[in-house]
Amino acid sequence: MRSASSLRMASASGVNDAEVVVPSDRGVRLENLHKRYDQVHAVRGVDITIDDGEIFALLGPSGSGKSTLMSLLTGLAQPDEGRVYIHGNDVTAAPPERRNVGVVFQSFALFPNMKVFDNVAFGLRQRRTPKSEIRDRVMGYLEAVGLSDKADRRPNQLSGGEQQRVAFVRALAASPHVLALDEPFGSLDVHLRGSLRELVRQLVKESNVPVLVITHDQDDAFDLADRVGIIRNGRIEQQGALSGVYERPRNRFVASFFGESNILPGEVLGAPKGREAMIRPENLEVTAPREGRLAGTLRSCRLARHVVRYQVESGGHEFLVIGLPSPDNSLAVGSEVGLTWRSRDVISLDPEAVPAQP
Amino acid sequence: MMISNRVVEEGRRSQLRLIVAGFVGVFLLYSTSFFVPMAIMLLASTGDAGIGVSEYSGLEAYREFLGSSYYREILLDSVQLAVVTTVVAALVSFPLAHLLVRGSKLVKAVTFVAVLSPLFVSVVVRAFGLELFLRRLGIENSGTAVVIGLVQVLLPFMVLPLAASFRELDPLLVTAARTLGAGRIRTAFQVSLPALMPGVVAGAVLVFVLALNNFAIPTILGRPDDPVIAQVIYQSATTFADFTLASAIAITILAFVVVLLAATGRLGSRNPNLGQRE
Repeated sequence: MRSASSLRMASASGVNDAEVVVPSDRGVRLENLHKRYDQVHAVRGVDITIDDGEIFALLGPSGSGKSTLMSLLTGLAQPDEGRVYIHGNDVTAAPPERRNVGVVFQSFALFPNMKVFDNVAFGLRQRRTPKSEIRDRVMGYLEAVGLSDKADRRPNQLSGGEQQRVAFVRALAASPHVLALDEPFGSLDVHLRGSLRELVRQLVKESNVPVLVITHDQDDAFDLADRVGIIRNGRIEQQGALSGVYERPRNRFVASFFGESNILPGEVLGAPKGREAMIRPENLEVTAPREGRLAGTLRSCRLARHVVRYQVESGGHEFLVIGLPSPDNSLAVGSEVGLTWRSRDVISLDPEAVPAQP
Repeated sequence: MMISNRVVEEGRRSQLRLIVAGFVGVFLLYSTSFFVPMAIMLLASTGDAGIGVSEYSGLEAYREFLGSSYYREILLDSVQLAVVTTVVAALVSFPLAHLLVRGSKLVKAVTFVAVLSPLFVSVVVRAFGLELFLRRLGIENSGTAVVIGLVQVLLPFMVLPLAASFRELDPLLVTAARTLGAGRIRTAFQVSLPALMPGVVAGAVLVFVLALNNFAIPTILGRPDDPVIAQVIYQSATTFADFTLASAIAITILAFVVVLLAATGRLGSRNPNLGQRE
């Protein structure tokens, strides 16, 4: 245990946008984690700190090391290097049952032989909580997610969304020190995800636990997270506050994996030559032909719910522009348009590091 | 339209003929090899079949079997033997079924061959081989020897259903239980075991019934003065030519097994652990 009242965290490679200051007896801290499986270096030097009540989304494509990191946090695997601290205690070598990490699995992994009530009560029973307290807590949580009338059902009698909520309160009811959500909405219909994310965020904020969300769905990050880390090939490419990473992505991978972006040679956007630069589509504006910084041709124009998506071609480059619909922007496809933007919205990207061989 | 209708009709009729022929074939096979002998045995159990010599007639043979303490003891011993065999087979099967499902490719292959290969060797040959081995250990012709023999012969019937249940068991359930604070042992009893129950019950019923009715293993490995029920049936029929008593015992055991199967079937439909899961 660290005695210092607080510890400044910043990774050695300096990819943290926001240096996080978390008192050492709070939250969860993954410190310089490394994990190799046979020939694969699955996790390479990951540092993540999540404060109590904070939601951190780890976003990456499949095979990027997310699941391995989850195993290292829950204790299903031990790191080859590095340490895991929960509430300041070093739990690197502790088995899963000693860590108190609540997990929500993509497949929910509800116990099929138990009723909903017993599923949610499972964690409390492991620590010999008095019966009346178990009853109150379990029913309270089921109430909170609108399932108190389904307490006597078996998991296979519930819908997917209901199962997800049961899995979620099962993890929360045991008062975990950390909550880990593994692709929590991956197996649900898209229209269900939004409302569930809202519910999850609200409950998590009330319970004041640090939350790690592992996902490849950027909407999970946008709708849930306070901070976000983008992982690739076992390395965190960039982490920081949601808005910071979105507004100032470090390289092409982050810019294209997190949010939509226009990535172009720097000089096209008025940024330094020789490097790529990016601008978010909502920061571009379609103007009258001669009023823009660039002149181009409108290739397509499509209403996407509450925004309009324009495809503009200029000087051999394709631009995606997202704007608000308005009566006077009914432009004909093929017409001449201009493109404009504010210089401060152009982000110069770091040259892509060639991914090292595993 | 007419033509196509006729063709369809024709096809349907020939299909129907095939199904009827199949039913008739299966019925003939079963009736000659099962129902008819059963009916004869039922008749013989009341002394009405005119086979062998017996002092019993009507339901006397049943009364003799169920009423005498001699037969009751043998029956209880046989049931006990079958229960012990089932329990031992179940305990041995857990690790084997686990290896069969979760082991590496090589481990799976070796386990599979080890569990199934005895099925390809005659029971008599296996029993005598085991007899020679147990003689070295000094436990030949004993109850222990019979249990070892029965477990060895009947193991596949326990391992295979159990392995099927293992295959269905989601490994994430174990992970979930552990992260919720349950240690390995509690997880095994509270999560894994209930999920494996369908396989355990299926295997246990098979092994129990087969152990109760086994003749070769107790004959070769057991004590001659301590017969099991199958040997008593055999003796009654061959040594004493008392087909009436032999049939009555056989019918009683059969009824017992049918009741047992019905009971586990009901258990399965009532308890969702043992039923089908989605």
